[in-house]
Parts: sequence; structure tokens; C-alpha cells
Amino acid sequence: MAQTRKARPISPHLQIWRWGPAMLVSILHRITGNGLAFGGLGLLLWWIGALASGPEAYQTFLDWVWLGTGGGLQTVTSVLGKIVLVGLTWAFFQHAASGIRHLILDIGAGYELDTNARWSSLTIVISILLTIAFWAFVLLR
Amino acid sequence: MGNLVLITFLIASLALLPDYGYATVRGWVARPLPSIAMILIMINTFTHARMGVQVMLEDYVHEEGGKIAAWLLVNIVPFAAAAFGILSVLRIALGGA
Repeated sequence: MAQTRKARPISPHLQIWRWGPAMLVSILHRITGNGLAFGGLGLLLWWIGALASGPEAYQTFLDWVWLGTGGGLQTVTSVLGKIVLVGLTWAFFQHAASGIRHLILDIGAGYELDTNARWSSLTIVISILLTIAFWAFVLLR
Repeated sequence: MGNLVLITFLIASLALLPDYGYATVRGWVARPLPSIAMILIMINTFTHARMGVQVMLEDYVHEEGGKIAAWLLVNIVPFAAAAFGILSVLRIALGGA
């Protein structure tokens, strides 16, 4: 801990590599995971806490996150809330698809370059399709 | 892995609710299976998030002060958050109307 810091050898970093699907999915896994951890779980606690507190607290939650009934700042946050909720569902589907891919990689399959690139790309396709399907179902039924 | 089942159950159940009014949503959470699922969600998601956030912080936080802040975040917040979540579910499940 206390030793003097010498100049460490520097390895080539992000900007030097040509981007491929596996790199994109790797960093998306971290971004979506942390987004779900802070944004998603934060909203989950607000939601369940409001439900436990009573109708007024729950209405406050709905107003700020979705309805914007109170006007003013709620007009803005209710738009942001919809974007965040759609984003969180996408983040969940992306993180889940990527997580399943990791399970498959963990059993030793899917490391061939073309297979790896194909399954990486597919997690993105799947997460976008599932997000569209989910919100189409919720909003259109 | 458990989160895959639990969160899928949560969002599918929410998507299928007839409306999102207080009585409907609270009534859903108060039912036995959803209550148990919600309590398991509070345990499982915060455990998972704690590990993931810890790995992220280990990669990006290198200064001593930052490490102390990261340690506090990872070792206090998830437990407090899960406790609040579980208590909320219990209030809904056991609190009657």
C-alpha cells in the first residue's frame, strides 16, 4: 500500500482496438447491470415503499414517474420516467440475454470467433425485440 | 440465475395487471406467491447488485479515499436497501387492507 508508485507499463486500451460485437456486449453488460442496480433498484424501492405507505404516497410515485398530474416539474419527470422505465426494461433484457450467454461461455461453448460474434450480436437483437414486444403488449392491449 | 426467474415473474405479472391503481397493485403484492417473490427479489437482486457494483468499483476506483467510500457503499447500502424492501413487502402482505 505504502510503496512508492513507479511508472507502470501501459497496455493498449479501448481506443486502439477495432470494435467488435463481443466488446460492445461486454461493456453493455456492465452499463446495464449498474443502471439496473442504481436506477432500477432505486425505483423498485420507491415503488414498494410507496405501496406500503398508502394511496397518497403511491399516487405521488405515479405522478412523478408516469402521469405528471401535478404539472410543473412533474411534466418533465413524467417524460423522463417513461424513458427510464423503457430503458430499464431494455437494460434487463440485455443484461439477461448477455448473462445467459455468459452461462453458455462458462460451460466452454461458443468461443469460435464467428460463433462468439454471432451470439454477441444476437443478445442485442433479442433485447431490442423483447423491449418492443413488452411495451407493445403493455400499451396496446 | 434466480433473478432471471424472479424479475421475469415480476414484469410479466405487472404487464398482466388490469390497471395500475393503488388497490389493484397493492392487492397483487399482498397475495402469497407475489409476496414471497417480492421478498426473494429484495434478497436476490441486492445480493447480485452488490457483487456487480463491487467488481465495477474495483476496476475504476484506485484512490484510497475512493476505496473507503466504495467499501462503505458496498457494505452498507445493499443491506439497508434490502431490509427496507422486505419490510415494505411484509407491511403490504400482513397489513390487511
